[in-house]
Amino acid sequence: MSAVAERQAGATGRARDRGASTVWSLARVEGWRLLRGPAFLIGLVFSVVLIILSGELAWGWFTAYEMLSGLALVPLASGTLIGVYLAGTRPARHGTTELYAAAPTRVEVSTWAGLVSLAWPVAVAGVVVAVAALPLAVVRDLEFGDTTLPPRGVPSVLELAQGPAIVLVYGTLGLLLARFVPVLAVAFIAPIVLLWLLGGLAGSTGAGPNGSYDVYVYSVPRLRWLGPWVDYRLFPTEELGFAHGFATGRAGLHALYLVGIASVLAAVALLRHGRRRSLGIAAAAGVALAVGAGLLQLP
Amino acid sequence: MTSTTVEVRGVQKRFGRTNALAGPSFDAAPGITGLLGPNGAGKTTLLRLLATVLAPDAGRLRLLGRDPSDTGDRLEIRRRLGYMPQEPGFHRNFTAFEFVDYVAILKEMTDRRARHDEVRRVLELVDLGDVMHRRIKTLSGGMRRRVALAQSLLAGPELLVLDEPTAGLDPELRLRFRELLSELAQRRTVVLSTHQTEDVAALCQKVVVMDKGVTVFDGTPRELIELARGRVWLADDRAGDARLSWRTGEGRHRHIGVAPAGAELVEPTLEDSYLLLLGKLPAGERAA
Repeated sequence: MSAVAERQAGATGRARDRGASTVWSLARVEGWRLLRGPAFLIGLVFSVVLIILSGELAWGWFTAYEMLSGLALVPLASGTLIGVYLAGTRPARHGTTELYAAAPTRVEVSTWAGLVSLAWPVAVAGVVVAVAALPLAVVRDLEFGDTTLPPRGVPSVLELAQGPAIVLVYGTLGLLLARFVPVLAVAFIAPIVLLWLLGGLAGSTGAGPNGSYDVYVYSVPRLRWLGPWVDYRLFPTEELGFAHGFATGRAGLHALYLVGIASVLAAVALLRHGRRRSLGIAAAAGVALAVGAGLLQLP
Repeated sequence: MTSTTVEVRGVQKRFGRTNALAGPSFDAAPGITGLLGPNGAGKTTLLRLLATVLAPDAGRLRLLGRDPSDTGDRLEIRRRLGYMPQEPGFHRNFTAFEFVDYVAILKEMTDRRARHDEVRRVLELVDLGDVMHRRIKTLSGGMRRRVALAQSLLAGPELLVLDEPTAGLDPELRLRFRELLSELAQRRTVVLSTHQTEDVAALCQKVVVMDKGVTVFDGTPRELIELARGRVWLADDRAGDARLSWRTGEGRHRHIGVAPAGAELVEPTLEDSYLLLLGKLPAGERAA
């Protein structure tokens, strides 16, 4: 290697190190700010209330099992989406774009930092489901919610991972929207539209034929598995001869499917700052993961 | 011997049909260079070029001995640059400390402890040590200008680009700004734009006057003042055909240009020269 090439390689390495350090420093700031933001806190409160209502108060249709497998985390995920979107559009909304443009850090680094900062809400989501699942795990016979409806019991760790994965998907989508559609109203419209679309997807079937779960499990539209959460009420219990949770696929595949979607969203958000081969590969890998896990989880 | 830090040669910048810069040229070395000019003269556009926020359409620009059109050079310039935009914008829910800390991260100061020490240093430098943990939305306009100045001082930049740093400040604060800037300029290059000719007279080693996107004067404040020597008069009455005359506090009339009858020649100020340069007088009276 020539002296010039060595110098260039050294400079590139130093720049990369500096970029990584800046990403981490920014992510720490953004992560903590996200957790302190009103959108996230309101979402967190709603999620906890949903879990409590489904458990302690034996509230209506939704079981604690279902809640902890993802549904309860949707408000927290929505709060994360709003918070990430607001953070992503902050320079444009507050008029600091010009000031930041004179700094050596590129906007792409801020996008990376926004993605890394999602570790904070995802960790909180993990803590929420872990703490809420503890009573279920300790007292395995405990029954929550409407006990006439399946399933009951405790979700597996992989099923519990679906909640934090939903938060990851929503957060990544928030950043993507911030990069492509920096219009404030989007922050508040997006979670509502998502709830409407995905809620419809998740509960897209009515009562099963003959009202029988064992028959019904085969009639569940495949589409419902492509939503972030799945309506577990429609799946049979062990008493009826089926396993808990993903009766038609191994637990963990749906979480992987969600991670695949988040990877694609993240890569597209980063592509906003310019095309790169590595990002194209990451996006393709995300698509492969989402499609692969998405197909394998299907009934 | 002074080294040139900023070299501007015939730079041009258009925004649609508007020709914001039509080829101004000047150099700046360590010390304070003041940009004077009316609204729309191109001062802010020029400062944005110096801050590497905009790229010129044509012309030559070198900053700190580097070419900002080169990606690597531009990055290096930004590492050694402090910039205070005309309207810096603030995250109103951030505290002053949090805001400056955020900018410090963008300036690649990633060691948390060292960064926080530096943030405290610059905030104390602009006398905001006592209020650094207050939210920006609770700070006065003058305090916010100082927050903006503080962030530009992070990491001791070699080139400081300040767009109207004293705008909207009361006289006491302006004096404090002058004091601070004159200290800072001892070892670095400061390029600032202003409408305040007093600031230029009090602070700058060099003054560049711009009008309609071009440089109309480039020299020292003393040289600028000399342009109006022998052309400023005090008289008891307002001259009927005077385009620029005003009644002073003492009740007499100050005229720039042709002497009215019975007028007394007086020492010109930098403002008198500035007005002459900008052609505020009849064409026949314009400075050469």
